[in-house]
Amino acid sequence: MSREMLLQCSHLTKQYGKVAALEAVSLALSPGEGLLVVGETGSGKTTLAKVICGGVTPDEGQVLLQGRPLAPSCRRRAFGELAAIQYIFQDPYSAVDLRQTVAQVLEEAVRICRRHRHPATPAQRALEDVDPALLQAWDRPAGTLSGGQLQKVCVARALIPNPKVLIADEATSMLDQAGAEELFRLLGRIRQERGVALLAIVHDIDFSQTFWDRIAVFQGGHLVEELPFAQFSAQAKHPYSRKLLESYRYFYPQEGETHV
Amino acid sequence: MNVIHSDRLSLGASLLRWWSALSISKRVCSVICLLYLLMALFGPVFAPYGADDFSSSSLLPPSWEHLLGTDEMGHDIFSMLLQGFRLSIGVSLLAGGGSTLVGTLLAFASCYFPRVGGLIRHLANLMLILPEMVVILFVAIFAAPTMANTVLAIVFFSWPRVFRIAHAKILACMGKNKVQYTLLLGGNVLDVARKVGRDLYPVFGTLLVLQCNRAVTYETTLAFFGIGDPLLKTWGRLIRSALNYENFFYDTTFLWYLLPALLCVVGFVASLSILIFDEDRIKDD
Repeated sequence: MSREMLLQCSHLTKQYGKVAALEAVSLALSPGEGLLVVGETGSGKTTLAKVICGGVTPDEGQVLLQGRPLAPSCRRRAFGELAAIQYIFQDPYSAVDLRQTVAQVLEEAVRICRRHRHPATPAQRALEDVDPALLQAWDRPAGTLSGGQLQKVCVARALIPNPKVLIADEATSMLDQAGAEELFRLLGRIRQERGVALLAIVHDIDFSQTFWDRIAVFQGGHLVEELPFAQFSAQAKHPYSRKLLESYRYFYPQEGETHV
Repeated sequence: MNVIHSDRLSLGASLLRWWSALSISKRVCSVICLLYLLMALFGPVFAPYGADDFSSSSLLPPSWEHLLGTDEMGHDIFSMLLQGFRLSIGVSLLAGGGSTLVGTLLAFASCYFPRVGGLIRHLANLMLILPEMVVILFVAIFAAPTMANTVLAIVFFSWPRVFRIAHAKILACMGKNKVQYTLLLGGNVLDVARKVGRDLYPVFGTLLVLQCNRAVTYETTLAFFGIGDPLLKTWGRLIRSALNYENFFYDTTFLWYLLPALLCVVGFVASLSILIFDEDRIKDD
C-alpha cells in the first residue's frame, strides 16, 4: 500500500469467546475519502470501528495512521493520534452526560485538547459549523434536545479536535428518514469543507447519496466485497451485496422498474 | 464570553427542591439529624460541668443542678451526654466518611487501572470473608486505646463493603459511551472521575450515611466491650459505665444513667437509616 494512505488496517482479527467478530480484515482509507461500511448486525462493523479508535484491542493485526502503527489501546496512543480519529456514537443520548448543557458537553473536548496543546476549534464555532440554529440550545441541558439535534452536537464535539478521520457508527440509526438524510448531508459537507475522511457504518445503503467513494461489505467478520460506490450496483458479486441491492430496488424502484 | 447557565440552580433553590421531594418521615429525620449535628457542634458548650469535674456527690438523682443526676464518681451525667454528642458523632463522621472515601476511591482506582484493580478486588473479597465486627474488635483490643486507633480500625476494616457497591456502580458507568468518549479522547483520570462522579453521587451519599450509621454502632460496641480511650466519654462509654453500676438491677438509676445515652444512639442510627430509606418509585409525571 502506498504511503499517502491516511488510515490502514492490516489483518485485524478479534474474537469474542468463540465468535469471530473480525477475521483478517484489511482496509485502507485515503485522506478525505468517504467509505461506507455495510453489513448485517453482528458482522463486525462496530468492532472494526472500535479497534480503529482504540476502544477495543484486536487479537491480531494493527492499525496504521499515516504509515505509523498505532498502539492497540487508546490509553497508549499519543494525543495527536487520538485527536486524529473521532468517533460518533450510535445513540447520542448515551454519548453525552444528559445533565450537562450543550456548552459543557463541547467545552470538555476543548479543555482536553488545550491541556495537550492541541489546536482545537472553539466550541461555538464547531457548533455553528454544524448547524447555526443549534446555538439557540447552547445553554440547554443536553437531555432536552431531540435525537437529531443531539447527534449534531456530537458531530460538533467530534470536530473540535480537528480530526482527520470521522467514524460514524450507525450514527443515523436512531433518527427518522429525514433526520438521517440531513445528518448524512451534514457529514458529506464536513468532508468536503474540512477534507476529513469519513468512515460511515450503516446497515443499508442509500444509493441516492452519491458523495461516497467506496463501499465495503462485511459479513460474519469478513470483508467480503470492496468496490467503488459508482460501480457497486453493476459489479457486486457477493450474495449479500446482491441482496442489499435487491432490497434497495424493492423499496425505491427505479424508473421503469416494477415489482409485485 | 460570559454565558449564564440558566439551568444551574442556586444552593438555596436546589436545597428547596431536595426538601420538597422528601417524604414526611425523611423530613422529620433530616431535621433530627441536623439537630444531632448542631448538638455535636455546640452541645459541649452548654455542658454545665467540665469533663473532669468530679466535685459533686456520687449517684445523685436528677435535680435542677444535675439534670440527669451524677455517676459513681460524682460526675454530671447530663454534661457527659452532651460531650458524648461531639465524640460519638465525630467518630461516626470520621470513620464513616473515611471508610466511604477509601472504599469509593479504591473502587474507582480498581476500575480505572485494571492491572492494580485485580489486586484490590481480591483484597476486598478476602476482607469480606472475615466477620467485620470481630476483626475490628480484635484489632482494637491490641491497639493502643486511643480514639484515633478506633477510627482507623473502623475505616480499615469496613471499606470493603463500600468498595463492593461502589465498584459495581463505577464499572457499569465506565462502560457507558459518555465515559468511553472521554477515554477515547485521551481525557485523564480527573476527566473520567468527574464524569463518573456525576453518576455516582446519589450512591455515594447513601453509602456515606450507611457507613456513618455503622461507625457509630461499631464505636458503641467497642466502648461496650471496654475498648477505646477510657477518658473520652462517648455514648458507648456512658452505656458501659451505666451497666457497670453495681445496683443496676435493683434501683431506678438506669432511667437517667443508661437510658439517655441509649436513646441518643438509637435515635441517631434510626434517623440516619430512615434518611436513606429506598422510596424510589416509577414517577407518573
